[in-house]
Amino acid sequence: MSSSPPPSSAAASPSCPKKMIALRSSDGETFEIEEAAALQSKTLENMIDEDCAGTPIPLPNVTGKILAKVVEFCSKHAEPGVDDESLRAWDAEFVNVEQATVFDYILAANFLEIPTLLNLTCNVVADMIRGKTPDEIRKFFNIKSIFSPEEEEEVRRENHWAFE
Amino acid sequence: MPNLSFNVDHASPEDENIGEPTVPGQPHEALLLVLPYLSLSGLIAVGEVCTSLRDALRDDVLPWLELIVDDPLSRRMCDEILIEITSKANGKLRTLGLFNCMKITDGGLQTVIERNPLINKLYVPGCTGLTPEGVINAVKTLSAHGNILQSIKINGIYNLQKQHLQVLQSYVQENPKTLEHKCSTHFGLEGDCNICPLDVEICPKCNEVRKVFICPIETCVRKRDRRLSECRGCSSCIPRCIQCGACVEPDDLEEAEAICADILCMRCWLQLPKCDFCNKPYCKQHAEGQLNPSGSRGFVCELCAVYEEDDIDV
Repeated sequence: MSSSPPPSSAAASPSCPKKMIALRSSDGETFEIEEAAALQSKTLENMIDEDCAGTPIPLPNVTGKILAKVVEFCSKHAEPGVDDESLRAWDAEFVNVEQATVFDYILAANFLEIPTLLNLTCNVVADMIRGKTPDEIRKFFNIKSIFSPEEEEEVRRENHWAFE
Repeated sequence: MPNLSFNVDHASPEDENIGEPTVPGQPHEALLLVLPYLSLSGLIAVGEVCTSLRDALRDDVLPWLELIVDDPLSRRMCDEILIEITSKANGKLRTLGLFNCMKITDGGLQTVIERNPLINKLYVPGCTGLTPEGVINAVKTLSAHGNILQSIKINGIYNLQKQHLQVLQSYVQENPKTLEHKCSTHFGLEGDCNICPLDVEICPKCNEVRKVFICPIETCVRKRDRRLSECRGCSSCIPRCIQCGACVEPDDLEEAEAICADILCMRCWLQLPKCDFCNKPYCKQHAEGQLNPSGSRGFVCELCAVYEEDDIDV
């Protein structure tokens, strides 16, 4: 299917061309990512070591839509010379998306073992949870509570110390 | 995004999309990965949300390995509850974070330590029920079997003396990871450093055990005017801007005050919107909820608003 252009802005020196890794999403889209960026993912790092002559690495757990963004994230974080403050601002924009997308990022970061992305996205959701009551959490994440009255009583008893 | 119906208990085949919750009304898979990032108050709230989250917390050790007890649970945390909560880590607790938990005693701390020998981050700032000796005992116990502590926080514990610091430093500095670390944590900026071995030092100016800050500006006012090589001291000795951490000369303190009584440097002061009456700004942290929501030109701060009301009545 379609292939996105290499995301790098740094020039490759003639004697050492930047190695590109090909990735294939669950829905068949192919993406190219610089090796340096790909190494942010422990999963990819392991797969690159056993590289079989550049065939695209299949990622059955990640859709094209999400993989594109993950490639963007890893490329940005592999860029040299970006100061902390700019990177933080860039990260904040990156996660400024709807709830469902952040969840997809979390699952992808977990599957691909990208600690920076996992920390960023999980902290975003942790911030959403912070300060909310159980009921507010239910509403926010569309969760249905199916506690039986006995179970509810038990949980309240366990946590009573937190509310006196 | 389809609206999740609360009447449906089982997923229909069309719902099996990658990345979407397969069972409407159930928590998204990703939420389980977020659990280790929550402080204790978050974990308790989440545990009451639904049966699957309750079970996830009951059956999994991961969310309990980095325990953070802060507001509003700090004042309710006591030895007994602490021992019970830490038992959920099954002896594998790595971070014990007790922030302003004033009811915790040396005995309670020691019990937790003895049952969790792998703790490598010990945070007890503001735990005024502890003594320096109690903390030292805890650190000694942890270090006894080859465990190397990464980070300790003790700011706010009463009666801290130089010799206590020296003992504690000897236990943490052996960690090769922390030797390389050059801290850039400045006064007022968010995020206490979790890599710095110890949060307090001896202030070079007053010689007391305090949090000591460095100036974020290479050639700051103090270094320039007094020809110093470093601008370093506790917040009592060197007043600093709450937003950027830059030192503020005592002469400028009056002018650069904020409504919330925090100190601001002139540069930060200039960038903030000011109250129409007293011409003082809020610092960014205290500004939330106070500024005029309609975003019109000015605002009246809470202190001046009182006077404004009185005038109108007269």
